[in-house]
This record gives sequence, structure tokens and C-alpha cells, in this order.
Amino acid sequence: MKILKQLVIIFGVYAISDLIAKLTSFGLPASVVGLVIFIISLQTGIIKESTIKESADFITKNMALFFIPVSLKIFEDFAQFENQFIPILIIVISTLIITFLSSVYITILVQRIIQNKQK
Amino acid sequence: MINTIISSPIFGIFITILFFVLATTISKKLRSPLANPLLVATLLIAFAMYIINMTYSQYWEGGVFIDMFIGPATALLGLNVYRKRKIIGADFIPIVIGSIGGSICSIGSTYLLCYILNIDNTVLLSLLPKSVTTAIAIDLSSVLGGVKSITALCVILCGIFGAIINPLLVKKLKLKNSIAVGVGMGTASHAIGTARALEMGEIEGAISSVSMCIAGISTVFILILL
Repeated sequence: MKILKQLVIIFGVYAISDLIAKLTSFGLPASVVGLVIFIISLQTGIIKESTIKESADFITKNMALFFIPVSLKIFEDFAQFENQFIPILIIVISTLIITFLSSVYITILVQRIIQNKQK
Repeated sequence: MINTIISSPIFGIFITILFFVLATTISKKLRSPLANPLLVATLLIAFAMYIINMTYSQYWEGGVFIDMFIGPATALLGLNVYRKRKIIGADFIPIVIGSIGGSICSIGSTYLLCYILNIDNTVLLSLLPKSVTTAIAIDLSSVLGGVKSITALCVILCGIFGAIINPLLVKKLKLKNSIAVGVGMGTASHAIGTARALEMGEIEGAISSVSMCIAGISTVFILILL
């Protein structure tokens, strides 16, 4: 019963997020709206961690499972972009390095600016 | 007879969970980022479907029920961020700016490289959200008009390569700032990077999961507003 009650809260919040996402017509994903709602309601105490804990942990720990159906579709769609596979691979690897290094150094830079200001 | 079993929606759900459990066990034994449960499970199911002659539309009858959980699962990452609020506290501003800056660089460099390499517009739209966690990336890709499965593949590749390449960069460049490394792992390689960051250290892991969320949200805003 405890798990079911937790699921009621989780799916309830998600249903509201879905509604908000559809009402704001500029294409905000429901998952992001839900994420923000969860952070706010946990922070303000509207939802307590214990109200969703077990179910939430079960769902997030096994998250990779939910991505299997959409990943399988790659075998269906592969023919569409077969000839672009190598360029895609090059883009993925090079932008990955750029993204990693830029976020690391931006963080270090901002930390230093803040530390200097505090001195 | 086998056709009757295959065409039942339950069968799609069954093989998905079965191979996910199998793949998770394999990846725990091998402990290599290449043995990513999602990647291994997907390949195993594809192989199994080929052997028993099952089509994707037959699989989707059941697969759709599993697919529906992506949204709620992503929303629940909010609980992770809430739990890490104390670690985030002191370095809140650098973490947020680092994640947003990294996301801008990710989108900008992807755009530029696609232009240089003369990539299809549909593929470009599928590639733009690739640094963020799968659920957000897939949602974004369909909103933008990309191909969901290409996005899914690139997101997984981005995570797996990131789990291998990023720690090498950390070593080569002698990066000792745990917070900054965490931001880099989460922003560039989402959940798979976060799993790897957790092995590097508790702070790296916690910051990485937070950065993954911030990068996800900021990427949504950047791409939708553009």
C-alpha cells in the first residue's frame, strides 16, 4: 500500500507537469516541468522525501530500463542516416571534449572570481 | 505458436526486463564503461528479435508501456538535486554558470561542426540536445523536429565516450578541482558520466548529477528560445 500511495503522488505530480507543459505552448518537456516541481515542493516541504522515497529510488535506479524501447528504434531508422554515421561519430566525440573542458574551466574561473571578490 | 507469443504486448515487456536484468549483471561483472547496461541490453534484444523474427512494431506493442516511464523517471531526478542541496550550497553560482556555459558550448560546437561537415538538417536537430540526459534530449528532439532514435544513440555514445575520455583528460591536465570535474562530467555526459563520476569521488558524483539537471534545463531553454 505504501508503494501505491507513493506512486499516486509521483504520477499525480507528473500529470500536473504534463498539463502545464501542454498549456505553455513553447514546447517545454513535461519531464523538465516535473523536475522543477519536485525540487520546489521538496524544498518547501509540500512533499516530504519520505512520501516518495522508495518508489522514487526504484524508478531512478533502474532508469536505463526505460530507454531500451526508444534505443531499439535505431535499428529501424538506421538506413535513413547510414551514410552520415562517421561524421556523426566525429561530431559526438569532438563536441564532447569541447563541452567537458569548457564547463570545467568556466566553473574554475567563476570560483576564482567569487573568491577574489570575497578577499 | 511462437507468433502468438510474440504478438502479445506482454512479450515486449518481458524481453525488455529480462535482457535489462541480464545486461545489468554483465556490466556489474565487467565494470567497463563500454559494458553500459542500456547499450548491452539494446544489442541483446535486437539480436534476440532477429533470431525469433520479431518486428519492431510487434515489440512496440509492449515497449510503449516501458517507454512511458521516461518522463516521470526524469522528473524524479529532482529528488537527487534536493538531497545534494548541502554540497551544492557553497558553490551554487560556479556550478550553475559552469553547467550553463558548458551547454552553450555544446550546442554551439555541434551546430558549427554540423555546418562544416554538411550534415542534414534533421540529423542536426537530432544532435543538438545530445549532451543532456536521455529523457530530456528525446523530448527536445521531437519538439525540434529531429529523429528520436538518432538522438537516443548519440546521447548514449556521448555518455559512454565521456565516461572513457573525460577521466583521461582529468589525468592529462592534472585537474584537481572536484567540483569543476563534477560539473564537466554531468554537463558533457549526463547520467552515464555521473555514474563514472561517482567512482571518482563522492563530491564529483553529487555535483555531476546536479549539473546534469541544470544542463538539461538550460539546454531546453536555449534550444526552445533560439
